[in-house]
Formats: sequence, C-alpha cells, structure tokens
Amino acid sequence: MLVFISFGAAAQEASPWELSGYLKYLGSYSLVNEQFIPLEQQAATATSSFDQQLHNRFDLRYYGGPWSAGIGMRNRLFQGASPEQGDSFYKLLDDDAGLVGLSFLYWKSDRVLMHTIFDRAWLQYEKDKWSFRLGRQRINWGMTSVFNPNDLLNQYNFLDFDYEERPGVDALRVQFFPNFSSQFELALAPLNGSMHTAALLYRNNAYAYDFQLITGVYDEHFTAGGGWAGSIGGLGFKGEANYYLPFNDKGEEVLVGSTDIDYVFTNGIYLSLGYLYNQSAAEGLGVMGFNSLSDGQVLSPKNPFIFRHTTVLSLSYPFNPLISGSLTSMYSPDGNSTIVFPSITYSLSTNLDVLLAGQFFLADNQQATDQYDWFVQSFFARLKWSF
Amino acid sequence: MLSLILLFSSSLFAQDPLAIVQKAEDKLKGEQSYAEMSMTIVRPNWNRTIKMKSWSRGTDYSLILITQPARDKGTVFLKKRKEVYNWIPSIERQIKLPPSMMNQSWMGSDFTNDDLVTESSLVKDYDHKLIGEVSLNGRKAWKIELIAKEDAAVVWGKVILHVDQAEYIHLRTEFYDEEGDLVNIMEAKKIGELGGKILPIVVVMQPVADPEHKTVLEYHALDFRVTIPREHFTTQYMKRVR
Repeated sequence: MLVFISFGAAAQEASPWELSGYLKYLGSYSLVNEQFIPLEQQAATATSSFDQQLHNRFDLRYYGGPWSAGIGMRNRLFQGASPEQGDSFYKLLDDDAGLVGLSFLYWKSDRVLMHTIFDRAWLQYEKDKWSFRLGRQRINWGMTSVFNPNDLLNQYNFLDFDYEERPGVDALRVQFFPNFSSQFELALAPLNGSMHTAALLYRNNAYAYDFQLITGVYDEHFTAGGGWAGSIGGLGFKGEANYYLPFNDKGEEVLVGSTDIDYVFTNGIYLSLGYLYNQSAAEGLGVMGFNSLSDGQVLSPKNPFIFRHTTVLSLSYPFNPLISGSLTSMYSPDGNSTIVFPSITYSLSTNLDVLLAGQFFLADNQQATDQYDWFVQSFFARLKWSF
Repeated sequence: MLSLILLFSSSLFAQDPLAIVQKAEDKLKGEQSYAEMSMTIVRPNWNRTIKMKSWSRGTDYSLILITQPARDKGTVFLKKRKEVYNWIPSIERQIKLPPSMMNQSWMGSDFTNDDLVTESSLVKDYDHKLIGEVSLNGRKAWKIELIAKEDAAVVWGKVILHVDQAEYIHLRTEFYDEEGDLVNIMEAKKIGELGGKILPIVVVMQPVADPEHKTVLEYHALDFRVTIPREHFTTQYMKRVR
C-alpha cells in the first residue's frame, strides 16, 4: 500500500520551469620563470601572482510542449591579479563577440571586478522532424575528445577548465531529421564585423560508425570537412578535419585535422590519445605560443590551438566514488613545448566538490639557456556548490 | 543409492532450468519498460544517492536520464545496439563512448554498465543446471547454476541463481569470476507490486571482498505496460528527454 503512495508522489506533473546552477570559489597562484622573459621586459613582468574569484551561475530552462527556452547567466567577482592587469583585462572580459551585447562589467577597479554575461539566451520550436532554435546557444559539431576542427561555431579553450559550459554564439539553427539515424543541420551566425559563419552539416550512422560532412562559409573562407566516431574492437576511434579556401588574397588555404583513440581498462582507467594538425599555427614559435595563449588570444575553428603539431594524452581514474583524478598532457615538437594538466576532485558531500589542479608549461628556453625548463606553473583550488 | 535419490528428486522438480531462467528473465525485462529509481552507494563513512529515470525497448535500446544529484542532473546515457552515447547538458554535447566503457562500474557503484544497460543474456550466454531447492525468507526457490559458455563475452564465469518458485523473481544471485571465486552477491530485500507485477522493489549488490560496502537499488516506479516509440532511442531524442 505504501508503495502506491510513493508512486503517486513520483507521478506528479513536473513544472515547465527548471532552475539550476552553482556557486564556486576559485583561487589560483601562478609562477613565471623570468629566464624565459627578454631582459628589457623582466621588470614589467610579475614572476608570481595570486588571483581569486567567486563565480556564480544560473541556468533557467522552460519546456512547454513544442516550445522551449533557455537563459544562462554567468556572474563573476574577481580580486587579485586579474583586476590588477587593468584595461587589457577589462577589454578581454567585457568583449561580447555576439550580435547583441549581453556582457556587463559594472564594478571596475584595479582591486575588484564584477562581471555578468548572458552566454545562453535562446528560444526553440520543435515539430515532428524539425527543430528551430534562435539566439545565443552552443552548437557542438565536434566528435573527437579534445580538439574539434568541425566545431565551426563554438570553439573553446581547453585550458580554461573553470568555464564548464563554454561560450555560446548568436545564431539561427535549423535541424531536420529524415529518419532515426540521419540529420541535416543548418547554422547561420552573423557575427560582429566581418566574421560571418554559415554552415550545413549532414550526419548519418552506418556499421556502428557516426559520420558527418560539413560545408559552409567561415570568415571569408569557403570550408569543407567531415568527421567520424566509431570503434575498433573495444577501442573508440574518432577523427575530424576541415579545409579552408580563401575568397580573396587576404586569407590563406588551411587544413586543420584531429584524430583520437580512447579505451577504458578493466581497472577503470580511461585513456585517450590524440593528435591535432593545425596548419594555421606558425612553426618555430615555441614558448611564444604559450604567450599568445595566456594573452587571451581567441582560438578559432581555423586556428584551434597554438602549435602546428600537438599530441594529447589524457588519463582519468575514479579512485572511488568520491575521488577521481585526471591527467592531460600535450606535447609539440616545436621547442619541445609541453603542457601538463593534472587535477583531482573530491566530493565533500552530495552537492559540494573540491577540485585541486595544476597547469605546467615547459619548453626549451630559446631566450637564454636553450635548456628544457619550466616556463609557467599555475596551481588552482576550487570549491563548488551545485544546485 | 544416493544417485538414485538425486535422480528421483531431480525428476520431482520436473523443471527445466533453462525455462525457469527464461521465465524469470522475461518477467524482469518485458519488451518495453519505464522505471524511476534511486541508487545509493553505501560505504562505512559516507553514502551517495543518484536518482534516475530509465526507458528500455528489448535488450537493444535503453536510455537513462540522471535526475539527481544537481551536478549530474540532465546527463543522459543512450545505448542503441552496440553503440553508447553520453549527452552532457551543460555544454550541449553528445559524446560517443568507447565500447570498452560497458564493463565499467556505473557511476562509481557496485553495478557495472553492463548490469544496467547491456544485459548480457543469462539465457543465451550460459549453460544451466538445476542444483537444488532452498527456502529464502520463507519463499521457496530453485537454485540454478549457470556456467558461462566458452565463446560468450561475459563478465562472470559462473552465476548461481535463486529463483522464486511462485513469482519467478531473482531472490539471490551469486556472481563468480573466471577463477571460480565469489565476487558479488545480489539480493532482493523487498518484494512488492510494481506496474501490475510482483517484483523486487529494493535490490542490494554486495561485494564479497568488502562486507561494509554495498549498493542499494530502489525502484520508485517500474512499468512494463508502456509503449515507447523507437524514435525515443535516438541521439535526437536524447537531447530533449526530461
């Protein structure tokens, strides 16, 4: 009898509104090896810095039959090294690449910054085999684990681990599903300035492989590409590539491609091994590539990472249901550039998690000694309460 | 003399072990099902509960939606035949998982993914032998030994079932590894009516090596009378299931 009462409770009509989000504290401490910095710039460079932020997020969703809508609000309060950078940081933070400015930097000083951005704001209508979504949204076309040349609309910076949701793009997306396994997807994203993206994707599945073809226009280039996600025995096998042909002599022909394999061992270790070829990246940049990344250079589909050749090895392991660890390392033969990114998470209680992480950049010191040495070391501690 | 008695008593059972296993399997699966359940991982100093909804159609298709905790809410796992997909709502991204993922622990519990979604077949992948009759908590059960077939791709080498004679429920199941060592014991702790059938409502998975560890699976709803369209088991629908 009791059983039936509990069923009754479970069968209640759900509200069409859903609110979720989190509150996070992130502290970071970074060290820079001054031997990597040209003498004339050494005085202007801090060799150690501390930064902290309070980071809150609200995600509101509405589901009403064929209509749905979503708003994502990201609020951050900075203190420490970030506000001390002054204008260059304000500009980076408050730069809303979308059609509609939804970024608000309303407390600006060299001690404290407070910033809000709406990185999701969309309305969706679905009927039968069609789906239409207009507004700021994430359009993910990538198939491989780390680098996604097929992501023409929503590139992201893999090292920016604290931005779990990744940025959105102002776009119209139309999806059509002819049958259970295939789909067509059209995305139109007129951005500020000259950067327009219009692309069409076709995806299907055969012999337990997903495959897709993409064609379109990206920033005054014609682009065509494709990707697959399948397996060889127990091994996952994925890849994707895009080729860019410029409309005029301002652009350049570029090929960007990535592939990876992944596997889960019986002891629970997840291993993935991948490679990215990025023809846009200059060769011989070495450690300067790191600089362009830390300067907040916006990565683009045509230039998804800082090196011409990058190999990625990722390992993750759940030590127990509360503690899990991961280690990602990237290597480029360009100046023996190496990034090592270990992290560990611990669940303090059902909705409270602690994360400890590090990001270590190593390379040949072409500036001074020519020795392989560490360039930047960053340490992170984060507490997250989810609701 | 003893063998005669055994022969006599086994004919008394007058039951085909394969038919019993098949009937118990049919009862537990149903062609289509909808379930709401919670899974609690119990350890000496802490416990964590995950709540989910699941839909299945035959053994080829299943869909699991995590509804709690907040951190994982909205995460979906879709299995269609041999392919497994994961939907991560925060980044709106679908990820195809490597086939080797299936042998792994399900979200840190004592169940594997295979226990929950693949369902390697107790009927097809094992040879069956009736080895006795027992009484468990006042319920009469057949004790059936299952030995993995040589070519079967299964996790366990041997499984001992205790199937309730009245309701064809798995009352107790012992899982042995390929070396013949007992690894896990699964027991039905509470039996009641779910979706018009008498079924286990609370099931406990107990690893033998860690007596203080267990995973408790509780069904809040389970219905085999549902009709779930095939199109619900697609990567398209995975993104809108609630």
